[in-house]
Amino acid sequence: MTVTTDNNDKICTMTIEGRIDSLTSAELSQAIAEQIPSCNKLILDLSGVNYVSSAGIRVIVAAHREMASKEGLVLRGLSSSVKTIISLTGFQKRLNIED
Amino acid sequence: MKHSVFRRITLFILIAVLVAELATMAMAFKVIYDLNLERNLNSIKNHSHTLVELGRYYNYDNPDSTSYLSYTLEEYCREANLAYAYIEEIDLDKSTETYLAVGFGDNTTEVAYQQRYPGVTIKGEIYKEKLAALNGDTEHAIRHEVNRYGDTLIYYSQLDELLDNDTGRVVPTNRNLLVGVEVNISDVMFSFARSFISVVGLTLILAILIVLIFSLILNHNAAKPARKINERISSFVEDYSKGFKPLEIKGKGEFAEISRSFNTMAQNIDSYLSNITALNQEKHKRRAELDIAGNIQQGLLSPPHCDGNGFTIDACMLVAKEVGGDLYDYLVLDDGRVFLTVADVSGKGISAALFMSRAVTLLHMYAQLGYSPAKILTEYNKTLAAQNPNGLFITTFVAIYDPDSKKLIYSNAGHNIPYILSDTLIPLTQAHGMAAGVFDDECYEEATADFKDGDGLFLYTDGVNEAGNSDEALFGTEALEDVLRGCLSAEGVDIMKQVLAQLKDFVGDAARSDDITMLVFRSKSGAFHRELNLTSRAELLSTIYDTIAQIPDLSEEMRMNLELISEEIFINICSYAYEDEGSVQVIIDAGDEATLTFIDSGKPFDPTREVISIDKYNHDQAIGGLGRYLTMQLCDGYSYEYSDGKNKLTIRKSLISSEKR
Repeated sequence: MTVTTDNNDKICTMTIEGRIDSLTSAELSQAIAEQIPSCNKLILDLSGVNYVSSAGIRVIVAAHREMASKEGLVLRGLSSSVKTIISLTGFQKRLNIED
Repeated sequence: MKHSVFRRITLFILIAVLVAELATMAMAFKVIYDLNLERNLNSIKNHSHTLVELGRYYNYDNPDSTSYLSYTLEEYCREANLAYAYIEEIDLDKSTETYLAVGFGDNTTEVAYQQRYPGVTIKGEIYKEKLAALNGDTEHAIRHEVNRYGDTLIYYSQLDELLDNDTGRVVPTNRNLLVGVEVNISDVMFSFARSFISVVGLTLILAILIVLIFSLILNHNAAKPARKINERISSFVEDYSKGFKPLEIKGKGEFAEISRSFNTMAQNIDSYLSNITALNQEKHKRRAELDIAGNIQQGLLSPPHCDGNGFTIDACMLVAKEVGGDLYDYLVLDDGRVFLTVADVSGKGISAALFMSRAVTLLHMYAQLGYSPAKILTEYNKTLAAQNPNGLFITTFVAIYDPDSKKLIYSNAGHNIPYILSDTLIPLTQAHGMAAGVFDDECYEEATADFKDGDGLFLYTDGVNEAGNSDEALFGTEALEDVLRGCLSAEGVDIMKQVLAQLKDFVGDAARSDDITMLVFRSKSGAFHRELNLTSRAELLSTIYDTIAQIPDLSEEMRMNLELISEEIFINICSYAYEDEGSVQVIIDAGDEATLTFIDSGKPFDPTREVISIDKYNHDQAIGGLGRYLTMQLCDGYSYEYSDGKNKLTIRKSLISSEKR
């Protein structure tokens, strides 16, 4: 998993490639935690992610909560499989998912 | 005792004695009374004759003469102890009687005394006895009066002749003169009755005394011993546990006999009980030994279930007695081939069991040596036949499955025809030789059958098809084939359950007479099988991913699903099962369906329970259990068991993608 971060006037876009699973979620969690203080809006570009496990979802939901007091979290470029997994959890209702 | 037979006997005897005594007394009274009557009758007849003689010489028209006669009669009565004597004249025309002379004795009745004295004329019917006397009928001239004044006997006789004063000669008279003599027999009978009553009283008292003594003797000699014996008999069981004491034998009577019989019986019972106890102990011991033998025998068999690399084996053996003559065995050979066998010794019980133990050992050994089925049977037969003095034989089916060539090679020594459960039911009728153990030079052949992935092999002994019901009908191979056709693709355990259920229906209450053995071998369709023995470290997840990647023809979607399931469960185990680290076994099977099995020896935890419901899920709280939730959502089935200190979680996922489905 690789994470590329672009902070443009407090709108922070993190482009993630690879898998977000138990092994990598901690790394992502830390990367997000580092960015959150310096951004009002967080966009996670998951177009390069084909696999998310519950560990990954936890990180995303945690980020969503952190950003709730600001301008929020946006999920972008979800592959169908990732979308399916998130749908199974029911979180798609709460998470801000771009088509 | 209320209803003592002795009490009743005593009462009965008492009554009998009383009745007998009263009867005797009554008879005695009657006899004595009759005798008395007879004697008095004779006596008054004599007196009557005397008075007739006397009466002739009196002039009945002269009052002086009759007065004198009355005086004489009175004297005579006192002398002869008569009640009274009189002479009367009867006027038949007027029906009157006139007393001419009357003499009273000392024991006369008052009435007689008041009514009859000389010169009195009474009018009334003349007694027929008097008329008889007047007609000379002396037989009927006796009158017996029993009334409230007493018991009197009166005899009448005719005074037929009188003295003619002119001639001084006695001449017949035409006057109807009668001499009546009366004797009171009440007095005589009264005195007799008095003595009679005292005798009766005395004998009665005597009888009661005798009966009382008799009853005492009876009580002592019969009732008491009978009670004693009865007590001992009724408390026999109670006494027996305290140690039996024999009954005291007194004398030589019936009760001594009964006591002796009782003692003999008690001794017999004692010895029988001892024998029975000993027999029971012996039986229990033998039973226990047989149970152990049965356990040892079951121990000779391979486990009833085996999950092999690409196949499963399920087997069962139900013995009719403690030990049986059936066997089944299987073995995964070094090259991955699978050896399978089922056999049935002729006969049952210990001999069959001993033979069976030798047979199973030999089969296992020859299989381990890598022999082909035909060679296994040939060698096995030779060895068995060499040392088989009792000529037992054993039908045996041997097969070896080669997973690479997907062929089943088999050889049959007189055994029931097994079946391949494929799209249809295929009986394995080839290579059928004679039963093993008798002729040591028999050479067995072998045959080959195709065996697709997912096919099953059903082996059984004749306990199945020859199971009999109470009508002595047999279950039969056709019924068996029908059952098997109904479950061609079922799991081994389910097939055996089906067969057993049908057997139970058919056999009903009839006792099972033969051992029932079945073995089902089933190759897994697809037959991808990997076993990973891992440590509970999260980074080893990649090993599981790598293995999943090896599953042939796996779609991207399915691969991701399997990875996700594996990750969630494996990470869960890594995080929670052990305090530190522990072993995790992951078994991955894949065909049309993938089966992921996770086994750990950590804390018992059933991940299939209390899976969160997403509707109730509080998004704002820490998200525990989410992984488990995802797993349950993604899979097509799961099972969890905790046994032998191990958590075993099995997840099934159909690999036919949803579009194809």
